[in-house]
Amino acid sequence: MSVLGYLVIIFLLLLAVGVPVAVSMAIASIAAIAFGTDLPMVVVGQRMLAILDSFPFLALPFFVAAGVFMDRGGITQRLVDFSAIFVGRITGGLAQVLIGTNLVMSGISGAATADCAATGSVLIPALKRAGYSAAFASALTAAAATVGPIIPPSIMFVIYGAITNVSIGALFLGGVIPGLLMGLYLMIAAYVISKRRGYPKMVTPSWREVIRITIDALPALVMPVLVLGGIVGGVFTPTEAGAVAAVFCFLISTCVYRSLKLSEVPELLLQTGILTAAIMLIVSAASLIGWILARERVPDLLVVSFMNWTSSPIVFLACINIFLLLLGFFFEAVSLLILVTPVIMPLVYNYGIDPVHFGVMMCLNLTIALIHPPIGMNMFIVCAIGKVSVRDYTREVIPFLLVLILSLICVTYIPDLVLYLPRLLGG
Amino acid sequence: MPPVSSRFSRVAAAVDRVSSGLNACAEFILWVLVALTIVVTFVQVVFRYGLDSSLSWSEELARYLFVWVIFIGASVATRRRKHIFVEILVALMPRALRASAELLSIGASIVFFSVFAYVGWLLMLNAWQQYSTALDIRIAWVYATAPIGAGLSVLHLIAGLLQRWSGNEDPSPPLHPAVEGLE
Repeated sequence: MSVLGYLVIIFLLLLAVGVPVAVSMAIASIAAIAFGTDLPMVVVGQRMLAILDSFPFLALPFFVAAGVFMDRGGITQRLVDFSAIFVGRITGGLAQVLIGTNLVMSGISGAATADCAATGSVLIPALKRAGYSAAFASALTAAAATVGPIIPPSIMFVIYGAITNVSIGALFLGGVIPGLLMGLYLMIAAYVISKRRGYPKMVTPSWREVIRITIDALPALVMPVLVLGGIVGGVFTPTEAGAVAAVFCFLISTCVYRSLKLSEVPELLLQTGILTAAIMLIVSAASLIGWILARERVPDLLVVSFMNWTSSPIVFLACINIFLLLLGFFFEAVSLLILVTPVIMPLVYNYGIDPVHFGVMMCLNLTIALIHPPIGMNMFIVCAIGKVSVRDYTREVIPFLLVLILSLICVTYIPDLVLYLPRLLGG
Repeated sequence: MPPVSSRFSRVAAAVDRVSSGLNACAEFILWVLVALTIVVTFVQVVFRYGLDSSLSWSEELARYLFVWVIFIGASVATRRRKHIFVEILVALMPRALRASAELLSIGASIVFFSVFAYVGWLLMLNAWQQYSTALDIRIAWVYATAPIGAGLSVLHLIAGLLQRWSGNEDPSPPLHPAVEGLE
């Protein structure tokens, strides 16, 4: 059996029976090296360690830490009040507030599932009390949290940028307009549904209230400006921006909002470390697989056969999107991003597609799987909080799923949605 | 002399205590390391802008701490069963089949972490004479985390296996870690 035979068969077999993704990759690679080549086993260690010694990847734990500090720090309720000033008076006001909160929160935190749990635990009970159905509240919460990985800072952009050597700053800027577009589409969908079902508007706050709420939310609103502004202005690298964000969120949550106790901090840092390790171990094992694939000239073969089949980037992008949406039924988003990116990049360059555009498109595509069965993590979180069954949830999530796919189509075929800001500001 | 099964369960419990004790140390080290990487990188920015003098060693130190975070964190993730896996087929399996799948999963993890601990150890020895550019420390101290983290993972996995066989522990793990974390 060939090297590739060992690699693919063992990898899929182990993956299917629930072996951790990183271990499946590594064992498949070890078997392929042992039985298919005469390389020494030490290359396993060399390859797996080489990619980890990386400054760009360091942004990953930093933005995770910033996110967990914020989520625990009482920021959610303040952002809810702040969003209500702008969108509360629309029909289905609280549903609109939920989307608005997610848009702002995404500018602070880097992780979709953490945002989803934070907004869900505050807003799903509030929505239920206001007369919304539990399934609708849960579905909207899960869907709205998908803007998290697209609006900067974003852990997925950090990973994609670090793997491909594409500017993480440009990816952050590129995500802004697509993220807002997703928010807009979700708001329209929520409006139409609320109108039909007669969901209520919210009470208008007084001017004094508006001022108090704005001042209260101000520290949290400074964060996205600080991160993006600092990166665009060349004040610091994305990794340094992550450290600044983490320190900033820590200070706001402990000193300004005072809802994060110092005794809770070790547990939060521990969670950050565990999540970082789980993701980076997959990055590490995937780099080993990528190295073997490159040695067997798989990316080259892929380029030749694809280019022979079609020369149209439009067809190529459609195929990739459908392929990734299908994979989303089985694989979790971050693992998929890490595994697919290195294999696909030669094709992306050969079709003349901008890697920043492609990165934003791919991350948007992969986040969609977070909200649908069978494995969507956001879905499980909101179903647990809202106490609804997956069946009821699924019926309510379909319209939101459709508008997210619509945003994916827009982002895929209107590259300027992504590339306008990076070009303008030179990220 | 007590019956074999109870002696076995005492041995299993003892191994588990070692595993849990070392993991407690690893968890403490892990959160301190995460805090240090954040502080070091933050200080780097402060020195460059606030004090107008760039640090030469901060980036290298942050990168090396990060490598330690990854492998110490990997061992904690093993103990807490927080590694990312594809759960859809396992969730559909009948109970008996699921137990064998879990055994296979633990076995595969033991094989991988053992191989990795071994090659990590070799790399560490190879790098003994190499020194880093900015901090001038032995590169071997950076690589040391690979055999340590992987070795700890093997210990945790074996401890879990012994506990399972001795019947000390409910063998069915939670299916959805994120959901479980909420309750």
